Amino acid sequence: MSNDYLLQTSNLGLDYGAFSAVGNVDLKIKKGTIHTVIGPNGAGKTSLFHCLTGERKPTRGSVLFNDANITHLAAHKRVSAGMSRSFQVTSLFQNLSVRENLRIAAQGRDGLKALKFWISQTANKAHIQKAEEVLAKIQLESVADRFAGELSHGQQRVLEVGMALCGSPELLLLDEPTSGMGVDDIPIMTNLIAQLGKEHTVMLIEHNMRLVMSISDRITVMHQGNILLEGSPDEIKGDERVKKAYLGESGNE
Amino acid sequence: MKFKNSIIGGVTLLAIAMMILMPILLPSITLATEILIFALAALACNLLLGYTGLLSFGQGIFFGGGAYTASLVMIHLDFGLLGALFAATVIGSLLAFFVGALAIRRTGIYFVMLTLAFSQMAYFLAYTFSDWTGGDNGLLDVPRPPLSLFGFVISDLDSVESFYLFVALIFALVFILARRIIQSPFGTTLVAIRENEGRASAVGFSTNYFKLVAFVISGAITGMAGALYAMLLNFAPLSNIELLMSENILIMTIIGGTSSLLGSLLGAGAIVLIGDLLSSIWPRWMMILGAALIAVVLFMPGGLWGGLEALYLKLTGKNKSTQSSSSEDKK
Repeated sequence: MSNDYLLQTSNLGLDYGAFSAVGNVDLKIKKGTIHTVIGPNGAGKTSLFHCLTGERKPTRGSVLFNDANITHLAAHKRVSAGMSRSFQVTSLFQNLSVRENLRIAAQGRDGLKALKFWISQTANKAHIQKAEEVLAKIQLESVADRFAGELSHGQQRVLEVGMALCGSPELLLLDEPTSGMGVDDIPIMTNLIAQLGKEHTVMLIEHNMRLVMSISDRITVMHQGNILLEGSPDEIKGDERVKKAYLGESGNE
Repeated sequence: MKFKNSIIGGVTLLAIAMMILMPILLPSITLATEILIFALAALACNLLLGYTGLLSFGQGIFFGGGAYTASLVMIHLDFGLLGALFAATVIGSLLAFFVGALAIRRTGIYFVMLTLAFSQMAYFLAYTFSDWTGGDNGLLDVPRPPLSLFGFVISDLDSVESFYLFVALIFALVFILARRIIQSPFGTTLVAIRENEGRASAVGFSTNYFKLVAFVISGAITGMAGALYAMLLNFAPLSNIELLMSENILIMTIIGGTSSLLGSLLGAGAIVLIGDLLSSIWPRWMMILGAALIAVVLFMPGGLWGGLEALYLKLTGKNKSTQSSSSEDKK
């Protein structure tokens, strides 16, 4: 029996001392979907994300990726397993060209093979090709030779996603891709993610509801460290509990 | 463009030109030899500081370790010239592996402090084992065996000219190797680690392995430089392994400029030359060195090489955007 789910967590939790940032989360991400996790501030989205990327070790539960248990796999080793991530706060090689940023990211997929110090960096055509391919996909060809630090914030956010793309991931984990982007730039990101959803499985955390509702296949709503609800955008849109979670529950006491 | 960035074109040609001019222009060939030896050490330091972003006070350990190793195997085990150099290179890389493996477990200021602690320990070890190292007196009567390959004597290296040629040949080879390293997948990854270690890790690199290999390569080159220095002086002083040696190597690297390997040659040249010229006139010449370091750090962040590059661009009227693409560690 083949497994439809690329990523599965069971009973996943993360505690900071006595405080449970993530309670008991069973999240299932189906292959080939764009799956968004939303929720009010402090709902545990980012903590959950950190457990998936390996940045934090979960206190309990497990993470299965492609049926392999990766709960305790170091973050940098998850790239060659087929998952890569972008950052909420832009994290680029500021003083390197856009093209070199992408080439290095492509090189990272091969991990320790890049220890070769006796060959030229141009010897591996695959990395250069990958960088060019991603450059075209994220439409930054016109600024390919500029330093990453010289780009506009919007372009840097797009490059941030491009960096994750260079790892040829099966699963793309995006941490608030539109974070800090101006309203004019958001459609670019929306289109880009929708486009990427055709080739990759995408899991993202996002606050921009218009983006979330327009491109997501599935939405998981988190509240106080646990999953409140999961469903299609239409199901989520009309749900009273979601509204309550966002607007607060005053009067319930 | 292609030519400028190839490993044997561009700055490598400039380095070779400098190696040809130095013995002609400088007051003595021994001085030129000393400059090249320290340029090797500075270049190795630059691989760590300039390209990986690691400020290591451990360079003196590898330099002194190389000098002692080469001297001891030549005195006690009758090693030939190349054998002694090889032994020093191996010990230099082993020492660097040991220091590096422990120090890179921490980052930032704690990493620096760890290398500093190792440096102090190495000095006192050398001081304590005076039966081997000669302690305060240093190791005397270090031989300089003839250069021979497969039993054929190529040169006896007795004259200052022939030893200079030998050191220059080694420097050229190491320079070309270092150019290859910084333009390899490994070298570009080091730059990525310098720029943003968190991101380098996130795209899949085990950054500690890369830093460790950088350390080992740096230690190997520094150990070789230490061995050559012992052969030049016929003497391996305790000061080779002092903290001051690590400092000097760092100062040469910074004053020369960390954005280019050629900067290390300029830095070593400037410091050795200033020291030689001023120490005979004024015993407190190190004060000037301090002032020079302050001036470079404050007003010339790219070091001597960066300053020369900026001057060249100004004179030829090129604008700043071309400077970025001509900088050495860009593709």
